[in-house]
Amino acid sequence: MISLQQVTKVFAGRTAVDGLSFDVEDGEFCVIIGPSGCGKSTTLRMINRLIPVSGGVITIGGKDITTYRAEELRRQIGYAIQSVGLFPHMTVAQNVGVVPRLLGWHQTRIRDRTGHLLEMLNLDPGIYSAKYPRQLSGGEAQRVGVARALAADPSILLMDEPFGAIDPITREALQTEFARIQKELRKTIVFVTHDIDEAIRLATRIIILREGKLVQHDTPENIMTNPAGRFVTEFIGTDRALKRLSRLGAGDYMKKAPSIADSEPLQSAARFLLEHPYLWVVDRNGRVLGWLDKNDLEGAEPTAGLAMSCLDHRTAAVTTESTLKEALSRMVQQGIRSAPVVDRKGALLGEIRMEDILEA
Amino acid sequence: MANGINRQIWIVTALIAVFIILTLSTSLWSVAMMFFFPSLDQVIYDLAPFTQLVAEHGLLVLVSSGLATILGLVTGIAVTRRWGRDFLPAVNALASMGQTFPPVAVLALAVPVVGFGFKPTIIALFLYGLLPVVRNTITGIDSVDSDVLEAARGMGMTPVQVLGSVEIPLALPVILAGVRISTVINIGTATLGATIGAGGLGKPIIAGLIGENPAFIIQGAALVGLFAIIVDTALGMIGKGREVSGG
Ligand SMILES: Nc1ncnc2c1ncn2[C@@H]1O[C@H](COP(=O)(O)OP(=O)(O)OP(=O)(O)O)[C@@H](O)[C@H]1O
Ligand SMILES: [Mg+2]
Repeated sequence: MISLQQVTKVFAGRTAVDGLSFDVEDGEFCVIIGPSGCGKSTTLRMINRLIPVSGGVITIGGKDITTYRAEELRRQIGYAIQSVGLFPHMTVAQNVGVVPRLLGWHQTRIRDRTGHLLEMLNLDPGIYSAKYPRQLSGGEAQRVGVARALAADPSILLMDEPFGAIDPITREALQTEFARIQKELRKTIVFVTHDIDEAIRLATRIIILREGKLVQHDTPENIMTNPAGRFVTEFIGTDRALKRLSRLGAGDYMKKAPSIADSEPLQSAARFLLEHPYLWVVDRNGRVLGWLDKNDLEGAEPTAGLAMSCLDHRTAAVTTESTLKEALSRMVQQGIRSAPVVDRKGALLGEIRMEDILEA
Repeated sequence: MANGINRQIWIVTALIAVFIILTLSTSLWSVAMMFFFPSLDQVIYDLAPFTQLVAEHGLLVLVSSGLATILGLVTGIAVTRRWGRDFLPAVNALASMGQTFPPVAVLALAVPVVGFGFKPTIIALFLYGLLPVVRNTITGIDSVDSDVLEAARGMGMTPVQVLGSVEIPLALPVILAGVRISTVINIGTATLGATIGAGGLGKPIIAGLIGENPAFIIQGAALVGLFAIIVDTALGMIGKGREVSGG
């Protein structure tokens, strides 16, 4: 457990962090959010002792952090810095392997671990291992920064806007991936972001900071239903209901989906459509090709094949790990009232219905 | 890049070959000098063999620049440490001021303090060569990105590890450039050592100036010039080679 008690930081007469107290339980995903300059990065840096506190106490596992050797403490805490800060003279693999090397891991173990982490962050080790940081895009560099923080498998992670420079699509994928990893690894995470959606999506608890002071510390649900004052309300924004959807997993709201193989004749489709308002059309491997409703049957030759409305499962479908918000946005985009849920290969697993989202 | 390096290796090898030939072969010199200065009755400097002059000159530069590089590095590193930062402005000011000092003046000042000969020349050259190394070490280390330093410390590197595996490698091109400037300047300045009895390739030049013998001057100047160019190119190659292999 990480615990801050009345922690204060004063820079040259200006108070950056002001009497901050909060606990982060083991396995908790704590997201710190607040406007620029409110002391988020400063708070993280005090936890790994990159800067000393001006007042107050920070403990980890009940022990005052100043009783550890600073370097020992930092090697036990994964740290992804806001500006990434990759070592320009080291390859991607060497960057990721820094902490394991400091901890004296064996060469082969470091290499395996590095490859595994790069893969996990969607960076093909074969392509990226030997690259230098200046050959990476901003988003790739950030992912390497995250891999570097995870390298020695620390039980505590401090992450300062780790997905800030990544495009929205990749970011969403990384968030999904990260949420999945966290479910497995149950690390204690303190995560800084500007992005309220990211906070709501990932956090088990959110800390809202304003000018170095704690404004609210609660679960995302409670913060959305019970915002502490105007500042929080404004910070969350007007689309609270929509934001809540990003905490709900598509897997939990999936229903069985009526479907038919594209090789079937029109008559069997017609028979199905007596019971269902529409049908998903799938290929031999169960991959979604499109959908079919009564309108598609009208005027069609009875012997003809299926004249469906086509869908690309890559843009229209969601996975069980997606959120209801994503499912909703797919429906709006495609103008459909239900979104197919597919597995990694695109095979139909079920569907998310608009009415279920409205009731969620 | 690799091609450029290869070409430079050839150039340096060729220059070294020319340098060795000019050092060893007096007959070549006499033919050339008699052609240019037929009226001179002596065209080869013969108070000491060229090999001895080259050795003296090389030793002056090697010792002074070697010491300057070591102490310059240590000073530059010390004043960029947390505990040495207080001295940074003073050292910086001293380094830039020292550069505006003409080398002749350094020698002139060294003589009354340490006397004539090899030692005072070494001391003067060492002091003069110190400045570019110190200045470039400071510049190189100071230009390391603060984010990179934060990451290094945040990963749990000790101050010594931060210095050894982050600061020095990243500052190395700039530091090497400083060593190169310092050494090349010293090769030229060491010529003046002849005026206070330190020997070296300055001797034929001084003798030529006094005895109005342009052939002597050319012999000394040609060898000093070649020496400087060879060292400059070779040190430049080390810097480039590192950039290529180190990313
Ligand atoms: N080393 C420092 N010296 C002086 N002032 C500092 C230092 N570091 C931070 N500050 C100040 O402390 C305040 C908080 O900075 P901090 O970096 O923690 O903000 P932040 O919440 O991380 O902002 P952002 O979202 O822009 O990253 C700012 O006003 C900043 O100017
Ligand atoms: Mg910050």
